[in-house]
Amino acid sequence: MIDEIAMNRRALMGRIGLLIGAAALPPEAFALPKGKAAKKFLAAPQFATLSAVADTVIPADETPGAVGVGVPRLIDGMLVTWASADTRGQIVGVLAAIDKLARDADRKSFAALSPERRKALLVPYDKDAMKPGPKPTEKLTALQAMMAGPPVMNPSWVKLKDLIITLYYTSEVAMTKEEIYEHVPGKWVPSLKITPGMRPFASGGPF
Amino acid sequence: MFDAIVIGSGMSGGIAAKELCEAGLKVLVLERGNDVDPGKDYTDMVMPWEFPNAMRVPEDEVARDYPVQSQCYAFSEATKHFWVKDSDHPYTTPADKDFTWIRGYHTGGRSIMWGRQSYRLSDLDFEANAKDGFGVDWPIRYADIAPWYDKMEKFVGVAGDRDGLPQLPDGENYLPGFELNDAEKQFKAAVESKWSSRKVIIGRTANLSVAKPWHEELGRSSCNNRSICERGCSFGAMHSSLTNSLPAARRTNNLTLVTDAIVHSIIQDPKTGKATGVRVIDRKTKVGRTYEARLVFLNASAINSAYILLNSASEHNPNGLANGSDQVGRNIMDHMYALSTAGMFPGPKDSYYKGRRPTGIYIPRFRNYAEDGDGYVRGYGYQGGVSRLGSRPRAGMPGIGAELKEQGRHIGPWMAYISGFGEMLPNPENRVTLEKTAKDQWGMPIPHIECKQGPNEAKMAKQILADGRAMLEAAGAFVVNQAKEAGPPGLGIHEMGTVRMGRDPKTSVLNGWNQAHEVPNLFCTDGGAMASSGCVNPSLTYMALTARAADHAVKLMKEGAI
Ligand SMILES: Cc1cc2nc3c(=O)[nH]c(=O)nc-3n(C[C@H](O)[C@H](O)[C@H](O)COP(=O)(O)OP(=O)(O)OC[C@H]3O[C@@H](n4cnc5c(N)ncnc54)[C@H](O)[C@@H]3O)c2cc1C
Ligand code: SF4
Repeated sequence: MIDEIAMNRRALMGRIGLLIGAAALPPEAFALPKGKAAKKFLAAPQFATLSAVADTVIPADETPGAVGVGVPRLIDGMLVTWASADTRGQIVGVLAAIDKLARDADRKSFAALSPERRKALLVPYDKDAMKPGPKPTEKLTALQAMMAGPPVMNPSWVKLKDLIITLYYTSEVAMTKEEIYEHVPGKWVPSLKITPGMRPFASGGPF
Repeated sequence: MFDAIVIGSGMSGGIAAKELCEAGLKVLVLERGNDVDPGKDYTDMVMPWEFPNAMRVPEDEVARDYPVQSQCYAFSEATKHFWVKDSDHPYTTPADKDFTWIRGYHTGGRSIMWGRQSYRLSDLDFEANAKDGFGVDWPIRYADIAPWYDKMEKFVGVAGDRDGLPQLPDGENYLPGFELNDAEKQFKAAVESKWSSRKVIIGRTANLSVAKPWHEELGRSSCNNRSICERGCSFGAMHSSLTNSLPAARRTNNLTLVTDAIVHSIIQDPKTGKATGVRVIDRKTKVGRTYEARLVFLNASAINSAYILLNSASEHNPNGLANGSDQVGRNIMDHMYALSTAGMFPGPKDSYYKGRRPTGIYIPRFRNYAEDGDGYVRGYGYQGGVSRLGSRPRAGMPGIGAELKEQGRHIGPWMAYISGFGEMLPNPENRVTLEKTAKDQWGMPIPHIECKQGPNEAKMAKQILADGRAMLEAAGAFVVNQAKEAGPPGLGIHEMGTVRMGRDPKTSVLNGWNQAHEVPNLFCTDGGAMASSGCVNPSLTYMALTARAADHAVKLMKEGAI
């Protein structure tokens, strides 16, 4: 049984490898997604804004950034396969707001700006979004309230940023290059000396 | 005609099947849900990035089908198929009394997704009702169940240390306990030096730290420290009914398992008073049929077992089967849950750990034991851990770009986290009944659950939080997050008490052998049987009670007494 799982896994991994390989090519960063992502929600200009935002939140350096691992394509897919109408509306609204920011300031679309300029606009936007906001109207359980933390001014932005971060850090590239991920660690080592430059271990579940 | 029918294939039903099969009985296990095939249904070999939607269940689907189940920490795209659809299995509650009923209907029940924490009750618990007068006296004491704890711990494989604490008895057969990390050792030293009455120990858990030959015989192997056990473990390194108890039953050639068989009610012969069999509705065809047996074990989980008894009402038993006491369905208890405190911890700077240990730390009960409680009876323990905070950037904190990415590359600071599990008192008003008219898609009445924590729980919850904060702070932690109140009852997923044991048939349903006072060949050995809740995770006790009752039932059968 384990062998069978391992074989299926290899097949799956191959496919994922292809996807990531394709996405890691010199990124036609803001072009329409190609290949596997059959379902798309965003129109081309919205997708370009999303790609520019994702690239600004997690840019490429020595490792690929959000665009390199296909985050915009995955979010576009999730808008079809995961998001409620409300979430879709919030994400589209945030993308429009950020694009408007650019048009008001520079008379260009956000996607058309240089990476430096995009960051200059997004840093204050992000900071303002985190200011304390009104209590959410939906009823949260005690646990949800504790996990959610204090309410912020622009929860829709936090939602989009959370998708970007989560999808990036659950990608194979980030989990194996930014962090160390061993699916089957084997032994429990309760004490390990930290060496300079050591990366954090990634977790695969709720703990 | 079978020798025995076991209703439910989960944590307790699996043990009933194993013990009865091993005693030579021909056993039929009836399971209302679908069968589970570990090769296909386990997702533990799927890599994190291979799940769709970043492991999140679609939002509309959550709202429509899983509004209750999704409140459980273990619910995700990786485990979705192990939870009931709330839309298919409705229950009602009064508007002001939330009850979060977390369920899995399939072969193995919730033993596939459980958290594996495995502790013994002690006489502090078995004597509690008699001493303070809440509930009815347990008809057994620790000495009655101790050998059965031994037997079950050996079979399921519990890893733990022998800590020598009277309120949390040690097992004879523990596998080596998982070790504390360096920060946890520091936390332990700080807490124990300030309070001699408080101990910080490694959580005792049903994971095979080292598989023994009798585990390997059943295809199980040692734990690989992945901590994704709720997806099902392809190594068989955690105990589940599916990969341990039922295979043990099956190898006797005495087991018949029928899935998609919803037990509707138990049939009693009014002349002899004995149960003769059960009525079943086929989940898929919705057609009814009956099965007969000389012995019936009821292991459908506490609320469902009470439900089946209530639904077995007849001319002779207008209030339901075995319910002359009117206690069936009453006294629902669940441990108070989510009383958590978290803080940044000044742990050793250059120390880390490797692997994902499938258990945390445990702080056994000290209130109303070595230290007085503040105006309430009974007590609580804490589960938790001290670990390096995931360094992944958080969306709710300001920061983007290269700085955010750089932050994710650093090993995070230590965070200490402890969460209290508080004992809940039996209260006859906390109960499950049957809706008079509303029916589910199988034509069965919808359960109505009324359950609320009372004043004793409220006072205890306050002290759980205060003690949690005090211990973290005494160890030098800076508390950053603390719950304000307990989660709704049910969310502790330790619901119990609805078919309680007792000495007097007028006030209890089962005797000291889990045998129904009024139906001599009917035994209920799931959480329903619990006369009080203690404060430790209860499944090991259900399993021990089950093995003990099975042994007794077989003796009675051999003597011709039932
Ligand atoms: C996420 C999670 C974490 C947990 N952590 C822990 C822990 O750390 N330690 C601990 O001790 N406990 C823990 N628990 C609780 C533990 O899972 C339960 O106590 C245990 O499974 C109860 O055993 P049971 O046999 O009563 O019920 P279950 O295991 O739920 O099995 C009941 C079975 O009966 C079947 N059934 C129900 N009604 C009928 C019917 N009418 N006809 C036929 N079949 C029926 C169900 O489909 C199911 O398969 C946890 C549970 C969850 C979900
Ligand atoms: S941590 Fe151990 S028991 Fe849990 S899934 Fe991994 S190998 Fe199995």
